[in-house]
Amino acid sequence: MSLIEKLGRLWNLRGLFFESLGYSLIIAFGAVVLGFIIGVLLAVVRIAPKNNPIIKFFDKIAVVYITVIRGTPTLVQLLILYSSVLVVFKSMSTNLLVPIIAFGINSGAYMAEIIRSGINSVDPGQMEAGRSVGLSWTTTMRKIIIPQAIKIVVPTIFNEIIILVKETSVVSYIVLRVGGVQKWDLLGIAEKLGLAVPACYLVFLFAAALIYLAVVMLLTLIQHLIERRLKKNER
Amino acid sequence: MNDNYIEIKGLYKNFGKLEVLKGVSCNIKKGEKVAIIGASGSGKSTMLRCMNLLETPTYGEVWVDGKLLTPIDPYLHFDVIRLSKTYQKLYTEAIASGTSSEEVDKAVIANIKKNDLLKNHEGSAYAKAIKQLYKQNFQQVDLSRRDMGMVFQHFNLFNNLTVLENMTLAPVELKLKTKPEAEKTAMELLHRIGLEDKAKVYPSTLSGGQKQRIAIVRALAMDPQVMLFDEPTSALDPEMVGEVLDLVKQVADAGMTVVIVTHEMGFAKEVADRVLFMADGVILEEGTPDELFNHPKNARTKDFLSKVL
Ligand SMILES: Nc1ncnc2c1ncn2[C@@H]1O[C@H](COP(=O)(O)OP(=O)(O)OP(=O)(O)O)[C@@H](O)[C@H]1O
Ligand SMILES: [Mg+2]
Repeated sequence: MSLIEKLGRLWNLRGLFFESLGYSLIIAFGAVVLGFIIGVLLAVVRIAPKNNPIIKFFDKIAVVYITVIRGTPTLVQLLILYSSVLVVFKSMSTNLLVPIIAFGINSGAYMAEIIRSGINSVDPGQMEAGRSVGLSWTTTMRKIIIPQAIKIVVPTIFNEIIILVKETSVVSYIVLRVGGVQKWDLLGIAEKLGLAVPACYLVFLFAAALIYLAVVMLLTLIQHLIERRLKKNER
Repeated sequence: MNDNYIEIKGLYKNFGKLEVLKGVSCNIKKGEKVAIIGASGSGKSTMLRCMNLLETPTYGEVWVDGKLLTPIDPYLHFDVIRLSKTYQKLYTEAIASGTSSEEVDKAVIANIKKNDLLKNHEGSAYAKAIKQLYKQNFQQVDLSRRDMGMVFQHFNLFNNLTVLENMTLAPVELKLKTKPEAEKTAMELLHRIGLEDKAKVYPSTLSGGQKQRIAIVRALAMDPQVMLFDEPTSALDPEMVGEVLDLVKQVADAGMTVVIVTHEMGFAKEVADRVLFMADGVILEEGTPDELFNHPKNARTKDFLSKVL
């Protein structure tokens, strides 16, 4: 097969690639949202003054969570969740939530550490000023500290999002199902097509790589826009 | 109760092993202007920050407007000490030797205080008394802080909010005012300091003097009973010190209770009713500005003043 023929074949299959990109993005987006929420909650628990046993208890849990999640490979976590869901549900007709939760839980641990260091780098005088006008710790956190911390951590958070988007490619290790039909993520579809047409395997892989690259470049653009926007505020 | 607005009783503050306050007591009356002076590291800021519990005292009590902000310090309450098992044991032992009961009582209490003899379990009468004292007098510190404006050396304006939002956040968030009311008050205060045109800008565009004046009116926007200033001018370029001190003076002249930690001796002399000199975590000497600046009694006070005046 000549390269032209290979590219022609790839072009005919573009619909499949874009559909798979869609699944990759849905998984990544869901995981980012979940990861961010988990991250903020864990970070706040870690940073809260340890003046009552409930907070101390949650802090311990947060520490264990972060240690375990960061200490084990994402793929292992995904497979464990996937297999345990299989045990309970045998077969779910749509199981996109499984990788979303697995990657979300994973990303949450990293986001927690990022957000925590962001909160820590906000001038402590900001908290003192908030408390000294009678605002509670929580209100000051919500209105003053977290908004400033978010701004500090935008670059690092985007870095984490970019890593996460690429990491979703390990989802090709499990069987994705939507409405009872098997589906593939971006890397999954390249591999599947490569098995069917071994001569074109490399072309398919390159196609997948290029699409990942395009998504990451788009994310980087969004990051710069957000950073510019945030800078315009406060100035 | 009495006309003291702030009462600090037997206050100790340790940072780890470092003892910063070593038994400070002082009362600040309604409307009084008190200046706190002393060498760097003597504990001035720590004492001021204990008044609104930005620092948690290690021992001692802080009372504001007749309300207790800290836990009960049993060593400050003789009636409570008398209920303790330790007191009763020591008293019974001592009274057997035949001294008068008043003297024994005094000696035993002094002994208990000096040697920190109270334990965790001093009997139910003792525990009940402490609990009741606490319940009767305690107030959530967040509530008291609404009445105590604080101004910091480094301004601490909220960086993510505009000047106007800085001033309206707390009154609105705490439901003391509606947003339009809070904005009206804020604009009036900004007008007073000639900075209405800065209402919509973010703090990073302001000069140090402007930031500090806004920090002051931000505190005033809460209608506080007392203003605590921690070296409000030490982070400023010299040419901006005047505008800030003028505003502090206006606040003082308007009848507000003021506590100010300052290195501006001239200002302390001019504005204060009473000056406290701190050294090594205690109030070493206090008096009117005339007494303290012109006729200091303590050698360390004299020494300090000779260096700064
Ligand atoms: N959060 C803290 N942790 C540990 N040590 C502290 C803390 N805050 C203050 N200290 C120490 O306590 C001592 C007294 O500090 P403080 O700020 O009260 O002094 P000060 O009289 O206000 O001095 P200055 O004139 O320099 O402001 C200093 O030795 C300081 O290093
Ligand atoms: Mg100080």
